[in-house]
Amino acid sequence: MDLKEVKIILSRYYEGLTTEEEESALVEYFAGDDVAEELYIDREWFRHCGDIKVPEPGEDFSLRLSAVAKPDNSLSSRKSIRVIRYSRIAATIALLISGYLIAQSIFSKPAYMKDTYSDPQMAMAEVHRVLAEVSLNMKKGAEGLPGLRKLGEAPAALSTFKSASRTAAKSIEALDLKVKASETEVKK
Amino acid sequence: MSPDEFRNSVIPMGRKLYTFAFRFLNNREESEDVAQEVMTRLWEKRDELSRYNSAEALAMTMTRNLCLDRLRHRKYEGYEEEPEEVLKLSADEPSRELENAEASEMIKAIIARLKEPYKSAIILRDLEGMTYEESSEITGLTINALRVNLSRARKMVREEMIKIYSYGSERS
Repeated sequence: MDLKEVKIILSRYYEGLTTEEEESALVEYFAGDDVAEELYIDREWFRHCGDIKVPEPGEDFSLRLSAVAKPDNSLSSRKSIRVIRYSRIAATIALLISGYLIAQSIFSKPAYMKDTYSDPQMAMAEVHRVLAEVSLNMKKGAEGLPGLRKLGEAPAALSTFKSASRTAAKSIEALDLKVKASETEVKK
Repeated sequence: MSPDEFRNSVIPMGRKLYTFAFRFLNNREESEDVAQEVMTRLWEKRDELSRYNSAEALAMTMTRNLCLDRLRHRKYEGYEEEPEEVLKLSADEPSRELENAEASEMIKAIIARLKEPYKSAIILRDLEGMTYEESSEITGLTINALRVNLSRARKMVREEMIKIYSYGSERS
């Protein structure tokens, strides 16, 4: 291919009009030793655009690809992974909020207390008075509940019933023995 | 498509998807994640794959879309471009190889800075060597629209290369 022809094809190449065959012819021309100096840039392009190196993928790349084609690698399992991921995010947010609230409660000023006693003796006397009042009210309440009293008597009644039933069982056994003895005598 | 068919015909595309993703993202881990994500999506719709003309074109389209999403996300988050994974060359390698590496790294950096839809056009046709029909299917553009974008992309890359080489020759 002479220089004139190369230049014509090259101009078509940069206009995006070349056929694949014409482009192959250009690659072949620029791979040779007889390239015009004025086409130095084009020569660099044609010689090197095809040999741009790509690094080797990692050692586990093939395994990663093979792992894709397994029955358990379904959309649902990927969805569950996504759910776990979102759960983690939600847990992190909850942790941050609770941390903020705890920090706020620790570092905030204590609530102002009012209507309290400055004299401890007066405070103790007031506590005694309130407790006595509570005790009195509880006693009144218990008296008003007769069912509650009967419930307290129930264990004693239950033990009386148990001893009576044991005595009755013994009497039945004794009677049974007497009947058997009399039956033996009649047979004789 | 049965699981065995999927393993035999789709999983082997993973490496190609990774390379394609890397052209956009310039980041190994992200490119691996994208390739795996595409595989997972294909696995989930494996029963529908027979409806498509080409499972590979579908996979490439999904890869491109995921990469563009990630690039948009980076921009939205004010993500600073990570240093590119440069080619690691040992000191005793021949100087010609070093020169080649420099040229290809420079081209890679220029393409990384291109905007859509120019970036996709040049990656698909000139870097990945896809046909115009395949590139058109993946981008969802007509072949004419793709050619217009490709023309613009090639011119932009050439202009940048001229600037860089002119600067280099002025310095020397």
